[in-house]
Amino acid sequence: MQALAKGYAFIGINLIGVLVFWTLPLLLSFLISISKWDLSKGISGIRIIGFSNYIEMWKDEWFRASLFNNIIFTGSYVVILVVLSFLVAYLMNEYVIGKKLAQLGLYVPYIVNVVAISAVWLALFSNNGPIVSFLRFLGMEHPPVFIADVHWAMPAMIFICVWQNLGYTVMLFISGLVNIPKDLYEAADIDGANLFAKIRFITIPMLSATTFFIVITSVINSFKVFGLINLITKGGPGTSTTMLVYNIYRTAFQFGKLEFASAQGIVLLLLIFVITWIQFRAQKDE
Amino acid sequence: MRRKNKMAVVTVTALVMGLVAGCGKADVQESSQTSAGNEPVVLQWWGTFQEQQGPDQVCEAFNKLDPNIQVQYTRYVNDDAGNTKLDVTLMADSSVDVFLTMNDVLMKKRIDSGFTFPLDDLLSEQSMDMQTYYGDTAKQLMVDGHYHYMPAKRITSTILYNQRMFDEAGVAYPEPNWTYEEFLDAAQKLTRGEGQEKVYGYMFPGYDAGQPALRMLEAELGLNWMYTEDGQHANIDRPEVRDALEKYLDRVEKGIEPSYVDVTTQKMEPANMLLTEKAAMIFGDWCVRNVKDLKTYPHDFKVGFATMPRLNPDQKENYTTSLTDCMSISAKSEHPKEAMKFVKWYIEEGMDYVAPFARIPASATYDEEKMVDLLFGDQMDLFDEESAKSVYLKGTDFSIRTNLTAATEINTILTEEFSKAFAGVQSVDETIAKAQERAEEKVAEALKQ
Amino acid sequence: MIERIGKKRIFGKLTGTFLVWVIIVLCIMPFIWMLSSSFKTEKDVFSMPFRLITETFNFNNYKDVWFGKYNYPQMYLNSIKVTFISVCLCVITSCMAGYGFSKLKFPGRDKVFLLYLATMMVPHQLLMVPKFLIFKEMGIYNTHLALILPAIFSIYGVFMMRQYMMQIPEELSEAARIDGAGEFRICFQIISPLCKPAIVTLVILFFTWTWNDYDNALIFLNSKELYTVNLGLVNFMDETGMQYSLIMAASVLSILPIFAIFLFAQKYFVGGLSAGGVKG
Repeated sequence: MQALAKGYAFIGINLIGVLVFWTLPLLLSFLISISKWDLSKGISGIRIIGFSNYIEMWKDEWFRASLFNNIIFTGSYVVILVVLSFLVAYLMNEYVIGKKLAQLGLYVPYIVNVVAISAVWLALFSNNGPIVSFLRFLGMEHPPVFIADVHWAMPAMIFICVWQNLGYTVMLFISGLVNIPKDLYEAADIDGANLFAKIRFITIPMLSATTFFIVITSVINSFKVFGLINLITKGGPGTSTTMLVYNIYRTAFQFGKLEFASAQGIVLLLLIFVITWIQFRAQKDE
Repeated sequence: MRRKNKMAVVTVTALVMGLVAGCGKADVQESSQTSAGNEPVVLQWWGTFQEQQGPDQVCEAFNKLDPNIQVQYTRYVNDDAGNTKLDVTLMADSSVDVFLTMNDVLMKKRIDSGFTFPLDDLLSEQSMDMQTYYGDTAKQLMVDGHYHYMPAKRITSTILYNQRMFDEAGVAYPEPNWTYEEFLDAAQKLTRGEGQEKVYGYMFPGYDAGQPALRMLEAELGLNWMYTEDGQHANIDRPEVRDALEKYLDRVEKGIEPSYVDVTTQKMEPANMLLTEKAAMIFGDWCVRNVKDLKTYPHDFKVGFATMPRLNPDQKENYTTSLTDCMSISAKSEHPKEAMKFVKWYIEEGMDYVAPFARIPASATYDEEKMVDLLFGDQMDLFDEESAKSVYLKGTDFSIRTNLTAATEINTILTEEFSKAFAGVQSVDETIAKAQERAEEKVAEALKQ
Repeated sequence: MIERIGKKRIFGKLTGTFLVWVIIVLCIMPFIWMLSSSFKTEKDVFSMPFRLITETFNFNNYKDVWFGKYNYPQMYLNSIKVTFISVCLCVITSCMAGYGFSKLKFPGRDKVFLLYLATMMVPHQLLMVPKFLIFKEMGIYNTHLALILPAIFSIYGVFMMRQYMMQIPEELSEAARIDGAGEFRICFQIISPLCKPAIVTLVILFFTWTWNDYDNALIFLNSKELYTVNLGLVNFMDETGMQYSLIMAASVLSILPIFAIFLFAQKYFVGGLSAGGVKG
C-alpha cells in the first residue's frame, strides 16, 4: 500500500490534469458518439441512442476513403521516415564533418509552425513557383502540379511530412547511437566484422527502444495529420488526400454531424490503440 | 498505510482544485464588473469583417445614440474554425446577442439548431414590415413560416473589367445581358502573352471547384438548380450542367481563363489580377473596395461592370443578385429587444458606415443616389458611372437559396468530382454521372433524417 | 594496415558528409526562399530566374508587419508568457510522472500508463467541442489559462521521460534507497539530473509546440489583446490575401524567436546528448 501512495504521489498531479483536460473531454465525446444531440439545448440535449452511429458511418464514402488514404499515408510515411532518418543519423554520427551545424539545419523544419510551412510550400509548389519552373528548365514539358494533381498530391504531402519531421527523428536516433558503448564496436572489429554486420548485429538491436519510440509516435502522428492537409490541400484534389482527422473535423464542423464525427474519432482511437498495444506487448516480451 | 494513500490523493486534488477555483474566481469578478448597478445594456455583436472596415464606425455611431444601449463588436473569421467558435458560443451561453452570418448554408444550420431568436414578435413590436426592406423577396426569407434573420447586404454576380484593355483591343464594352458568345469573343480578344506577360481575358476566384463553371449556370437557373422542382432529388445530371462544364473546360483549354488548379495553387486573387493588369475581366463584386485602394493598387484605368453572360440567349431571367450578411439574434440573448433595435438601426442606417467597404445595402430604404454616394464617394472617376449604377447597384432578378438539403455535402462532392475533370483524369460524362449519384445519396440520407 | 583504415575512413567521411549535406540543403531551401522573398516586392517573388537578392531589397515588408495594425509586439509578449509558464510547469510534472511510471512499482501502474498512451493518440480536433464546454464551465475560456493548463499536463512529456528513465539502471535508485533517500530526493536529485539530455530536449520540444500552437489558440481565445503570434499570422494571411512577400515576412518573424532559442540551446542540446548522461 505504501507503494501505491508513493506511486500516485508522483503521478497524481499529472494524472488529474490528464483526466480533466484529456480523459473527460474524451468521455464526453464518446457520449456524443452514442447519442443524438439537440444542439440548441446544450449538454442536456444529448439523448443516448446506442451504437447506431458506429454502423451508419461505414456507409459514408468519405470515411472509407479517408481510412484507405490514411493507411497508405501512414505506411509510406513511417517507412520512409524511419529508414531515411536512421541512415542520416548513422552517417552523421560516424562520418559527417560539421555535425552540429548539420543537425541544426535538419532540425529547422521541425521547429517552424505549420502555418508558415504551409505558406511556403504552397508558394514553392505553385504553378509558376520555383519547383515547377526548375522542372520546366530541365526540359519537362508538363511538369506535375503536385498538390493540385490527383496522383501527385499524396506523394507531395508525404514528402512534406517527412521533410518536416526528419530532423527530430534523426536527433532521436543520434541520441540513441551515442549511447551505444564504443567497446561493443571495438570487440566486433577485433572479430573482423564488417560494417553491415556491425549495423545488423550491434546498432539495430541496441537502438530497439529508440526505434520503438519513433515508430509509435510516427504512426500516431501520421494518423493525426491535420494542419497541413487543412491548410494546403483541403483533402483534394478529388478525395486523394482526405485523411481521418481531416474528415472528422469536416464531418463535425462543416457537415454539422458531431455524432458521426465523434464515432469516427473513437474508431480512430481504437485503431491506434490496438497498434500500440501490440507493439507495447512486443517490447515487453523482448 | 491506506490513510497515507488517501492523504496523497486529497492533497493533490486540493492543489488542483485550488488552481481551478482560482481561475473561476477571476472570471466571476470580471462578469460582476460588467453587470453591476445601473449600467447600460451591452450588446455583443459578432461579425466576419475586419474591425476597421465598418464595425468600428458602426459601434461608434450607434453608441452615441442611446447611452443605455451600447454595442461591442467581436470579429470571427469566416472559416470552419471561426464558425465553430461562434456555434459553440451560441450553444454554451448568452455571451453573444447579435451575430452576422455570411453563408446561407450556415444560416440554415444555425436556424435548425435553434440558435436564432424568431424575429416575428420583435418585428411587430418595432412595427417593422419585412416588405419595406426586401419587397417581394421577403417571403423567401421565411424559414418554416418565421423570420430568423435580416440580410444587410446585397451580393451581386458582377464582372469587373478594365476599360482601357477593351479600348486597346478594340472590343466594345459589354452590353447589359450580353450572351455567352459575346462574352467569349471579347475574352478571347483580350487574352494575350505567355508566362510572366500572360494576360487572361477572364478570371474567376478559387472557391469550390464547381464554381467557375457553375456561377454562369446559377445566373440562368437560380440558386436552387441542383435539386429537382419538388426538392426530393439531386438534379446535377442535366444538359445545362454538362454544357456549362464543357464551356469552362474550353475556356481553360484556349487559355482565356486560368484553370481552377492555377487559381488555387497560385492563390490568384481577382482584385490583384485586375488591378495589376493580369486579367481583363474578373468575377467578384467585393473587389470594388480594392479598386478604391489606390495606395495598394495604383492604377490609371477605369473599371466597368458587366452582368454574368447569358448561357442561353432565350432565358427569361438573369439571376445575379442575392442577399447576405444575415443579422440574427441569439436565442439565448438576455436582451432581445435591445438587440432588435440595433439590428433595425443597422439595416436602416448602420450600413452607411459599412457600405464604403463595398457592401451594398440590401434594404430598399436606401435609394440609388445614397448608395452611389456611400459606395463610390468622390472616387467615382475610377469607375464607369453608368454601368456602376445600371449593373452593380441594380438589384433585380433576385435568387435566394431556399433548398439547402445536404448543401455542404453536395458542394464538397462537386469540388471533388469537378477537380478530377479539370485534371483530365475523368471525362465530363463520368464526372456528372458520379456527382449526380453521390449527391443523390446524400440528399436521400438527409431527407430520411 | 593503419594507413588503409585511415584512407577508408576519410573516403567514408567525405561521402557521408556530401550525402548528408545534400539532404540538409534540401531541408533548408524552403526557408532560404522564404527569407529571400520576405525582402522582395510582391512582383519579384515568383520572377524567373530566381535571384536570392533583388535590386528592390528592402525592409518594407517587415515594417508593414511589425508596425502595422496587427500589434505584433503585444502578440509576442502573449506568446512568451504562455510558452514560458507552460514549459516550466510541464517539465516538472513530466519528470515526476515519468519517475512514477518508470522507477516505482505500484498496483495499476501499467494500466494507468496504457490510459496515457491511449489518450495521447486522441486527435485533439475530436475534443475541441467538449473541451470548449468544459473550459466555459471552469471559467477559463478566453484567458491564457485555457492554453496553459492543458499544456502543463503533457502526456507526451510523461511518455518521453518514462522511456528515458527506463534506460537508467535500477541499481542507481536502489542504492540511494538503501542509503535512506526518499523518493522525491531520488527523483529530483539523482534521476532527473541524469535525464538532462531528455529534459533539454523536452524543453525545446514544448517550447516549439506551445509557441507554434495554433488550433487551441484559435478556438479558446477570443479577445484580440490575448492573441498569440500564430493566431496573428493566420489573421494576417486572412486579411491581406495571398501577398506572399508580406506573408513570408510575417512568417519569418513568427519563426525568429523559436529559432533564436533553438540556436542558443543547441549547445546544451547536442552537448547534453553526446556527453551521454547515461551509459547504456
